[in-house]
Amino acid sequence: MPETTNLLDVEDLSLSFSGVRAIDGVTFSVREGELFSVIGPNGAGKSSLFNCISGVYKPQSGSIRFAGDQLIGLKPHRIARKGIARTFQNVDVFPAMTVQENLLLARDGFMRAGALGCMIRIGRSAREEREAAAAVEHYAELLHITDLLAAPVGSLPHGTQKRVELARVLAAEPRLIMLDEPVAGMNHDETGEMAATIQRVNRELRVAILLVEHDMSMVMGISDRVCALDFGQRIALGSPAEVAGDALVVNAYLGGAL
Amino acid sequence: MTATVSTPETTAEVAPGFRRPSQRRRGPWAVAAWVVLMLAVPLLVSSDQWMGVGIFALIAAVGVLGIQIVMGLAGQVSIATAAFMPIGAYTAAWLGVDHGQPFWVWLPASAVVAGIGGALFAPIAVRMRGHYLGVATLGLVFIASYVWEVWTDLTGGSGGRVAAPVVINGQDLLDGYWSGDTQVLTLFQAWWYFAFAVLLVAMVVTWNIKRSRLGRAFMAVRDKDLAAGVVGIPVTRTKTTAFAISSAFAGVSGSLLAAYMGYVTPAQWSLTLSIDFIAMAVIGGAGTIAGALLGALFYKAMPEAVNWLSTYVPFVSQDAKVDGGLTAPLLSQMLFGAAILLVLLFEPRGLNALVRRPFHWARTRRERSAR
Repeated sequence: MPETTNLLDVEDLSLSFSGVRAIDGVTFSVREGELFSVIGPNGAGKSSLFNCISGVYKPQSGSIRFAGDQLIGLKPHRIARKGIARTFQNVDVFPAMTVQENLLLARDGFMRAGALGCMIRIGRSAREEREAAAAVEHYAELLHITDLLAAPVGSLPHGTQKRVELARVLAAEPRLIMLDEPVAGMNHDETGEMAATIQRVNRELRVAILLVEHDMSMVMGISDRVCALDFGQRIALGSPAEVAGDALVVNAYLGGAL
Repeated sequence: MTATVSTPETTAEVAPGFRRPSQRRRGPWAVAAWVVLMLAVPLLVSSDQWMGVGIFALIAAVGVLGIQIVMGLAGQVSIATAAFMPIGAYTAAWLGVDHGQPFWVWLPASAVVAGIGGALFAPIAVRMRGHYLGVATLGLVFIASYVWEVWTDLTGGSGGRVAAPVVINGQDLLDGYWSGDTQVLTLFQAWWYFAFAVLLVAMVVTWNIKRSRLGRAFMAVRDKDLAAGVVGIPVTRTKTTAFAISSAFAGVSGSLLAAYMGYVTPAQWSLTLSIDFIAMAVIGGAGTIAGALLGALFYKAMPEAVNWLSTYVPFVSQDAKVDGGLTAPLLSQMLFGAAILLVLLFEPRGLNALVRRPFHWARTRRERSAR
């Protein structure tokens, strides 16, 4: 094995909701710059896993380390500030705010001006706002939404909102991007386009990506490694080819249907 | 009411720097024209009664801006304006009267002390949402009015006390402004300019907040507080800041109101006052800066206007009667209520949106014909 450092270490993680085990002793790690996917049928615990990592849920046991720091017990905004940005399964943009304001939210971690500075807007606070606007412009160009910067996000079609969400994630300049079902509800062409974008972000910006996806074919094409979950347990971990051929995975996806 | 308060910003209001070219040039001119108009009002309006109404509206608008921040921008229901206004008023009275400090000390101090009061309430507030938060802030008003009744050393008890005067160049503004033996400004003119100056500062501060990281954090927390946390916004601190700033605005409004009236009693800080301020914010247009003034003007001027109108309506007695029948005060109350309903029925986004309609209409027409 080549020497690669782990960015994210999830160890023996368990989460239950009033007795129901959503995640049951899951262990995996994401390496620096890797495109790592978590797959599994509905209810396998994929989204719960994301919510544990980003601090929305508090797991009962196990550990989540990001670049060596324990994340469990931290508030969501602290975890985000450490360099983890995520999207949600149902697009979670702020509909009443403009595209520009949505992207600027991601730059908040780079700004230091206090409440008084914001009220007066001279010196540092004004400079920070200008720098943030410039950065936002850059990421908007990257995802071809520059023309829409002034539009309220709520007025845009679903696919465009997903792009806005992705641009917001990039604008945070994270070390790890977590994407929760980025192609849900997309047609074949849109899925292909999104897959290409994800791959480009991973390669060109050298950001590690943790992808949760229902759509097997999309995941297999672009992932470095894949982890399969079923009923909250890890049933396979390895290269896309290994996981796709795994009997347990095939059974998990097709077993119920047969 | 909650639904109206959380109504998103009007789509006509776009992000700074990304206005359409026609708008970009017009915005500053419109503001400049408005400032000139506001400065000219004391020269155009000769009626003391109407000037008084206007001054009350300017003072109230400062407090309404506070509501716009905490409810319109940050989405936190607060009925506590009537608890924070007197904090400002009594801070001002204590500093201005008991310790002889000038207004440029007691006015900022009223903001700071009331702001601290808001921040102290925040640990309770951030644990609640929606209606529960509203009811909790309601409790604050009751507690505060009890405090004002019993803290007689500060408030003078139910009899009230003298409020802090605004003294400029050794002259109390309540006597007008004199140069030698000639009166340059009447009481009403002098107070109009003073209250307008304070309101202008409050408006600029609000405008800066709206387009800063703080304003965006407010809006994110308002729209989806869970997602806001995941994006990296410290939700608890953001809500606390919203309460502190809003209370500071209420404090300034309270100290100004007391100073203008010259006297302050515990009875005037009742729950009705809080409701009035929320009504002004909603009628003006939730979350909007111009709406704060429009709502305050409407709320203060409308009862006077219908009062005046009702004298021309036949079969109406001018005096209060005990044997039933329509009286002028009754009719004006009813008309005032109807006016509020009409505004909200025809434009739920408030007077701010209503006033902008003709401009918006003209612009879309112009753009259509330009094509």
